[in-house]
Amino acid sequence: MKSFSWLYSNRVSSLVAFAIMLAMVGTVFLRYGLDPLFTALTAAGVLLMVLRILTIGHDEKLLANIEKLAEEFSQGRFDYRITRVPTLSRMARIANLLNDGCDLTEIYFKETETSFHKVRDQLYYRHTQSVGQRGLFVGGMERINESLDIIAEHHKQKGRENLRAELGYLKTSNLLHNLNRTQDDLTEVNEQLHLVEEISERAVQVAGEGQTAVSRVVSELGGMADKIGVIKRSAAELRQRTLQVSEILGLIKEISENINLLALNATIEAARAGEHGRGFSVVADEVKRLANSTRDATVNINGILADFVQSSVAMEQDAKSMNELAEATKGTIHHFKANFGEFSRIAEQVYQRVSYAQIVGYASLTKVDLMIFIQNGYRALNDGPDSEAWRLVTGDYAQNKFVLWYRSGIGFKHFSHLPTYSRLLAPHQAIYRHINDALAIASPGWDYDRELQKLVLSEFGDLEKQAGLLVDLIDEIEKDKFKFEVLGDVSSMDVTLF
Amino acid sequence: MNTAIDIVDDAATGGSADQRLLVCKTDPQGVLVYVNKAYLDRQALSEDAVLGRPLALQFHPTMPRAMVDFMWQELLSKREVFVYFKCRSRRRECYWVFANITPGRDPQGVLKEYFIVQRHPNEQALQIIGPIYEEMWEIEQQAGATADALQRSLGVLQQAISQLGGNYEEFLLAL
Repeated sequence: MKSFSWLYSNRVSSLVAFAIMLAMVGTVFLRYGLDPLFTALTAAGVLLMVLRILTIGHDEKLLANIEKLAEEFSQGRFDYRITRVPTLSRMARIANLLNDGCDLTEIYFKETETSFHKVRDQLYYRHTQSVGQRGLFVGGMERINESLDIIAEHHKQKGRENLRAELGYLKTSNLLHNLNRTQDDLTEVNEQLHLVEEISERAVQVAGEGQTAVSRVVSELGGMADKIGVIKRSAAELRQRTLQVSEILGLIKEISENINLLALNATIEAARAGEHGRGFSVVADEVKRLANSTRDATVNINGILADFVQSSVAMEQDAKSMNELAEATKGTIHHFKANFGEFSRIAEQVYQRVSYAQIVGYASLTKVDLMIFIQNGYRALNDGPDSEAWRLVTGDYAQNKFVLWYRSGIGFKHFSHLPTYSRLLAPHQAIYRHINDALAIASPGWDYDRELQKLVLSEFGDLEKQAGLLVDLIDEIEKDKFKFEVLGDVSSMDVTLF
Repeated sequence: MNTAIDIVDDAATGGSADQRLLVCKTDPQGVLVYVNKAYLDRQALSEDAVLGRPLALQFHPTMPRAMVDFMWQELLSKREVFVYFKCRSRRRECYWVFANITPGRDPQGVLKEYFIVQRHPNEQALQIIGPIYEEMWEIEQQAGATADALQRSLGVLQQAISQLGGNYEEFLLAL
């Protein structure tokens, strides 16, 4: 079979046919001589034959090119093309169609490769270009593009989830930290109130004691009034007795006068004694009677004086018991005074504790406001520009709750004179700025981009740092306030506080 | 005969002539070494008239020079590049194509050829690119092809890109 392969070669078979024809012409020429018609036909045949052999050369070359392309193709290479295609050849069309097929295949592979190469660099917009593609390639490219979109969406989703997780961690850890601090504040307030309760209890006890003391004073004073009544009655009795004494003394005076007169008469009668002795017996009788009267009066006086002494003793006793009563009252009043002193101390302590609790309460409220502000920042990032949270955190800074607190609210009223106060605004401004910067970065397609995500995360990280700083400052202010004003000079408190 | 083959081609593939891909290859110097049949038909040139000539042969005179420079700059940085070409055929017909040029390498990674695929552009994209190219060309016309003028010319494109966001490639693919 192999010996007949030359039959398949255009060139060899043509040359053999050409040789046979030449032999035929030679034979005819030798046998029949030169015939003009035959010669002309032979010349035309030879010319055509030569032309054909020349074009066969072109076809052979083209065929070789086609063979080369087929060989490359079979090896999985598509970059070979058939060039210099003889336009008149029957095989030109085959060559062009094969070129087109190689073009489509090479485009398909290059497009696919480039697209996936970009995916490796996390660029998803480079879709395969299916314009002008044909046949199965179109569907293949479209499916690749769909896959790219899915990969992109997946990546976006993953990026979003990553960021959300990281933000969530940042958010919850800081929120927990802040909640712990708020809890500490509230525990502090609670302790202060507990102390106030204890102090109040003591006050109730002291008040009870005070009440007992007062009722004792009242009853003791009542006893004193009774005693005073007794003394008054004794005094009246004494006056009565004194009047009687003075009457008796008048009587004695009268008797003494009469005795004196009698003595004068006796002197006169004695001058005549010798003559009339009987007159002496009359005088003697009279003197005897006077002596009796005097004795009676004396007895009376003795009785009265005994009464008098008795009244005096009673009065003395009354006075003594009154004195004792007064002493007792003095003790009670002293105790009472001590109670009042303690009352005032308790009131002061209550004031201190309640003031401290109030300071801690104010500071705590501010901290909670701050936390809410920051949480709204996180929510704004999550919910997007149309959300309430976004509106709240990006709104006019001058209308911010903290700024109002700082410039004209409770903060300004109670804390603005403290040295640390002026340092509060800077970290809060930084927080506001960081939130707004983060949201500005987050605006277009940020969840696609790991770099933008990192920026957003770093803004929130800085923000939390500033928040920590601000809370520390608020704590410091809270302590200063308590140290300088509540524990300080009580009298100066009114001046500085209100 | 030539025309007859064209008609057969279109009928066989179901596409109209201007929808066909114009594919060509150049050597690393930008000299054409292969063009497909559709390219020759579009350019109304024979293969012999095209092979061995530079790619720039097909450019319309008003194609901005800065764009061509930009294209080569990208290719020399070993990147694929998308460019809108404003072209002119031998019959002086003006047409636009959306070209993608990819550097082709041998297995050792040595630059072997550039593979240029020119696609039929969409009308919307041309409404944006057309005026930009016109403005660029005018700048180049007024100042001549100085480095400064080319810089300013490219600036027109860059400004258009920055208004829409993204990079050059994203900008073109989004049109």
